[in-house]
Formats: sequence, C-alpha cells, structure tokens
Amino acid sequence: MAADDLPTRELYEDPVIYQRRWFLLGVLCLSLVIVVMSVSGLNVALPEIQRSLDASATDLQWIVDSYAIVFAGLLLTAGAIGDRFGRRRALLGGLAVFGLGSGLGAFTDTASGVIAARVVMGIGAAFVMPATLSLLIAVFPPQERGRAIAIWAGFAGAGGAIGPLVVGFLLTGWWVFPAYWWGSAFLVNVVTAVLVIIAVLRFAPRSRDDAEHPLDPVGAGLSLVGLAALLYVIIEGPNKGWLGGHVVGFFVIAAIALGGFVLWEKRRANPMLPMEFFANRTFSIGSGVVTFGFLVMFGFFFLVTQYYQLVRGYSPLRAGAANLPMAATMVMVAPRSALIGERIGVFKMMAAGFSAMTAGLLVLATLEPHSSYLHIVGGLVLLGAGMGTTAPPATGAIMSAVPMHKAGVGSAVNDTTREVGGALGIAVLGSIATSVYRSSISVGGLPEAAAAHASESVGGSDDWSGVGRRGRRCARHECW
Amino acid sequence: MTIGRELGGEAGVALVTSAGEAFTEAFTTTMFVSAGISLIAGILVYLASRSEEPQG
Repeated sequence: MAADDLPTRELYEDPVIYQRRWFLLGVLCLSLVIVVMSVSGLNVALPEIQRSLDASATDLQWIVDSYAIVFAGLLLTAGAIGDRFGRRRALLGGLAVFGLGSGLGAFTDTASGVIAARVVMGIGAAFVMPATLSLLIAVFPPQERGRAIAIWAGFAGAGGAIGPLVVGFLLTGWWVFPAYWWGSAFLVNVVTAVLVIIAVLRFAPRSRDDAEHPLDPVGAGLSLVGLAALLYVIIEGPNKGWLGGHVVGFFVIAAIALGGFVLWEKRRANPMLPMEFFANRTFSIGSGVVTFGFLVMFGFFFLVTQYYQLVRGYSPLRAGAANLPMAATMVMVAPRSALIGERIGVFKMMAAGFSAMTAGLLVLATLEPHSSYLHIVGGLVLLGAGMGTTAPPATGAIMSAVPMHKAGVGSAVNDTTREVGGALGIAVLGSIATSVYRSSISVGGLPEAAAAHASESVGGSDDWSGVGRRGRRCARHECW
Repeated sequence: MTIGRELGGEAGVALVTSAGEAFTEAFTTTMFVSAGISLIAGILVYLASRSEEPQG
C-alpha cells in the first residue's frame, strides 16, 4: 500500500482527525494567508527594493506580476496533481518550494534575482492554495463543512489586507530584521513556511483521488499557457495599450490555448476539469460571484493604498493598519454567513453581500482628501461585511458542486476565478482611475518635465514635489 | 522611483495638493463604478436566487 493511499472510510470519520479538525483549519488558513499576502504585501516594500537594487519601473512591475502570472497559470494543473498524488504532498511540496523561493528572494542582490525568486514562489503558491481547501473538505464532515469553508474564505479575503500591515510592520525594524530591509518581506515567509510544514507533517492526514485517474498533460499545458497569457494581457493591457500588437498577440495566444483547452477537455474520458461542472448553475454562479467580488476587492486594495500613502501621507505601516477594520469585519462575518446561508439560501446570501459591498463603496465614493478616518472606517466595515457575506457562500457553492475526488480541481477553479477577477479589477479600475486623474490634475506653471511626470501619475507628482510625506500632510493642513 | 526633488516648499505643497485632489476624484469615481458593478452583480444573483430552494 502506497504511503498516500486513501483510507477506505472518509477522513472525518477517523476520531483522531475529527478531534484535530479545527487546529488543522488554523494550519491551513496560515498556509493560505502567507500565499495570499505575498500578492499584496510586497507592494509596500517596492520603494525599498527600488532604492537598494536600483530596479527600473519595468523590474518592479515584473517583481509583482511574475508571481501572479505563474501562480494563476499553474493553479488548475497543481489542483489536479494534488488530487492525483495527494493533497498533503501537494501542500508540503508547495510550501517547501514557496519557502525556498522566499529564501532566495530575501538574499538576492539583483532585480532579476528577485523576479526569479517570485517565479519560484508562484510555483509553490499554486500548489498550496488548492491543497488547503481540498484538505479542508476532506477533514470536515458535511454538516460542518460550510462553516469551515466560510472561515477559509474569510482568511482568503482578509489576507489581502493583512499583507501590507505585516510587511509595513517588518520594515519598521523588528526583532532581527533591520529597519527598511525589504528582504524581511521574503524572510517572514520562510519562517512561517517552516512552521507550517512541521505542523502539516505532524497533524495533517493523507488525502487523494483513490480512483487514480490519469493525468492530462495536454490539458495542463493548454491551461497553463492560456491562463498565464490571459493574466499577462490583463496586467499589461493598461500599460502597453489594449490594442497594441504585443497585447493583442498574447490575447490571441490566450484565446487559442483556452479554446483548445475546452475542446480537449470535452473529448477526454477523464478530463482534468470536466466542462459539465459549468452546466451546474451552482458551480457557474459561484465562480461568477468570486470573479466579480474579487474584481471589486483587488481594485479597491490597489487604489486605496495609493490614496492612503500619496494623498493622506500615511507611512507604509499606517497604510497597512488602516484597512484592519475591513479585514477584522470580514473574518468575523464570514463564519456566520455559512449558517445564515443554509437558512435563507446561498444565492440570497450572496445577493445580500453584494448589497452591503455596494453601500460600503458608495460611502467610500464620498471621500475627500481631508475626510476623517471614521468616514473611511464606515465604508471599510460595510465593504468587509459584504465580502465576508459574499465570498464564503460562493466558494461553498463551487465546492458543493464538485465530487470529492475532484476537490483539488474545484478549489483551483475557485482560486483561478479569484486571481483572474482580481487582475481584471486592478487593470480596469486602475485604468479608470488613471484616466480621471490625468484629466483632473492641474499642472499650470510647473516646469515642463515636472508637469509631464505629475500628469502621468500621482506617484510622479510625489517624486517631483520634493516635500515628502510631511508635505502631503501639510497639503491637508495637518502640520501648520 | 526618485526622479529628483525639483520643487520643494510652497510649490511642492501646491503640487501635492493638486495631485491629491485629482487622485481623490479618480478614487471616488472608481468607487462609484465599483458600486455599480457590485449592484449589478447583486441583482443578477438575486434573480438567480428566485428559483433556489431554501435549505433550512
């Protein structure tokens, strides 16, 4: 009997595993949070990376995007490999690769080294994220699964807000980490990954698809190329122009690869991602809700960080801490949403969540440069409550529609829609914000070069102002 | 990237004031658009929910 063979009874029927289930959920959520916060947290350290490595704007963009592209591109394949060879193995291997990439990133001294490290981290992260949710499904009995998924989804959402806070805190200099050392943003992942690996080795059970369906290398290759090219188009579209030859070329590659993937999967006896899943209304609506929910959320995170730092003059740590009310609300509301959803129906729950998100976004739409922080908190709490009410039932809907032996792939669909939605949110909402900013900025009387940079972006005006954070606070009449 | 501290003083504060106001307008406009997206998504999911059987 191979080490990772599935036992004949369900995992949650084992009294030892059943007793450990909530502790295991904590370990899985910690694994999830380090992967999720690596997307948002590094943004805070980018200025320090730029300064110490003399990185160009293109380098910085690739440091952020390389992780997202590799991560999203590999998710489906990694979920299928986890189902086939063991979710615990996938989690352990993913954490080891993620930790290795983080260690390389912490001690490299070139921008290209950081980009390479982020690619390695992205590969590891693609195995970690689907494995956490599919293991969770295996260790919780059906009657508790909804609540466990809701807690997982709460941390998946809150991780985006926790990342900038953790990295902002580390940059202030803590324990052995020197102040303003960007490597601490990577090294914290190594420490956490090692702790989680020990916990998983000690406590997590083995779980996999016992039918041993053959792998689908052609489907994996097509999904990898298609999703990576799609992410590349979404990320590069606003910078290089949506109709530019480069972007259109990658869009064609994405369309051909993803179209080929659908046709290939429909013809296979044992597809990696059965297309019949999408005929299930619960599965397709859940996927759509995750896409739109994270489209709004990631777009919000992207813009509000700039608003805090470049308009209100917050330090990186304060900017990270400013979103805490939203993260806390999300984590508190998410477990309750599962219970209410069971009573009133998950679709109604998701609709109610979108209503709360709409209300929160409307509150944030009335902000001014010198609005009180309480005004912001009002919007954040509503937005967090909305997301905490929308994402857990949506993830639960996706997972309820896939059979247990496809839990890794179901989880990967949830994660992929989240990443694609998030990238779309940053691209589309970021483009709208750039367009409005450029039409609103007044640069009359400035030297030509200063006017050009200030018109380009709010960061450009910051570079040329020469007044720093104190000047931004002064502009809001907070210093004299 | 740090291009240079070209202005400083009152001119610098004037620039960040103008940029801050412009970015705030960009941010609030985007929040309105996001609210619209969220509202439409909510309505669509609500319409789908009308054929859903409550489980409780």
